Amino acid sequence: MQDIVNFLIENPEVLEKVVNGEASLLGVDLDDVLGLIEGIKEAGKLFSTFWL
Amino acid sequence: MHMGVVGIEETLTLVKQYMKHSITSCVKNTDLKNLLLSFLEKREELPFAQITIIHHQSFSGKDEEIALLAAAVELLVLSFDMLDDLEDLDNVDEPWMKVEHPVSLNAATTLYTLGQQAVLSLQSPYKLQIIEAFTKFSIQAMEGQHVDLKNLILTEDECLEVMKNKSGSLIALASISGMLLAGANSPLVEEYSYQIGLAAQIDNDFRDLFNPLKNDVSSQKKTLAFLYLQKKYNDQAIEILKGFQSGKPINEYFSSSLNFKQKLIDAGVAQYLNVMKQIAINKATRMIRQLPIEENQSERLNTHLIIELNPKNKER
Repeated sequence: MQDIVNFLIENPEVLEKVVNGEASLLGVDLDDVLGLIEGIKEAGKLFSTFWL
Repeated sequence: MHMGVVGIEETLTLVKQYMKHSITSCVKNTDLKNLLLSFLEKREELPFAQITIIHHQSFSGKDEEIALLAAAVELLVLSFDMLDDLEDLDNVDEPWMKVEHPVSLNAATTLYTLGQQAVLSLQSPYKLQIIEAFTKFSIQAMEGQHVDLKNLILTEDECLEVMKNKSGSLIALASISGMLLAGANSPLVEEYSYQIGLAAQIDNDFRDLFNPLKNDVSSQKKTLAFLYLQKKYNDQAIEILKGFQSGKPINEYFSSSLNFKQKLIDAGVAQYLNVMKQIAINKATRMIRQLPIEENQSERLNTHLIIELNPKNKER
């Protein structure tokens, strides 16, 4: 997952195509694709949360 | 008492009473007894007890002993928290870190034993299964802690396995014991508990990057963040690694907490950690919705585990 995240950060246009359904990430299941999109686009949320 | 008509808040009050009673009735030494009671003072929200109670209720459990079981879970988790701090030598503001460590260590093992004792005192026909769950997930958490302490992690997969064992096992213990007391047993509960443990641990590890009372940065602990940085995808990652190795408090190295936050975004670490957290949450949510319980119960469970226990929007 490290390499996929780095690739999408370095190539934001690919991430946008995935978001718009114009491209797909081969071999990545739906939970992971949704996590990639939300995780990268809303990374700032990590700064204001904690759990147990 | 009937759990169908008693809410979580009232049950948590009972849980606290059971925790105190467990100490006062089993420990005769006044000094040790008072020390243990003082450690309970800071435990206000009892999140693991909440997980046990809500699982019991979600699986239609109405057993009067749920508060006693939840107290056993909290005693056990408290002992694990104490042992973790004593082993990592951090969180120095915790009360057990302010007394002689051998004394705290003995107190932690006492609490661990009291947790086991509380489970043994259950009258439930499912007691044996609950004891087995306590033992299984305690050992798993200890195994995760061992690998973590030895800092033997080399890969992302190894790191996820340790997080699953160390953090997920205690959530699994809390969830599954509550479910078992209701006479139910779904394997999905163990699986999503690990995912919730992962998400929680990612947030906590991220928060600890900014916490000068934690040793994660200075000891270069092999967290997901550290492993990502070690890939050295960009100059910012290399700079953060240098900051870790500098021996200085990380916020000081980068002049301010704000600068360090920006550096984590520029390096891609914040995005990576958030991706890993979101994936874990998505998997947990999907499994919770597949549980063989009524839809309103699975939604309530999801709300409690993913939304209420998750972001408390505390400003750093």
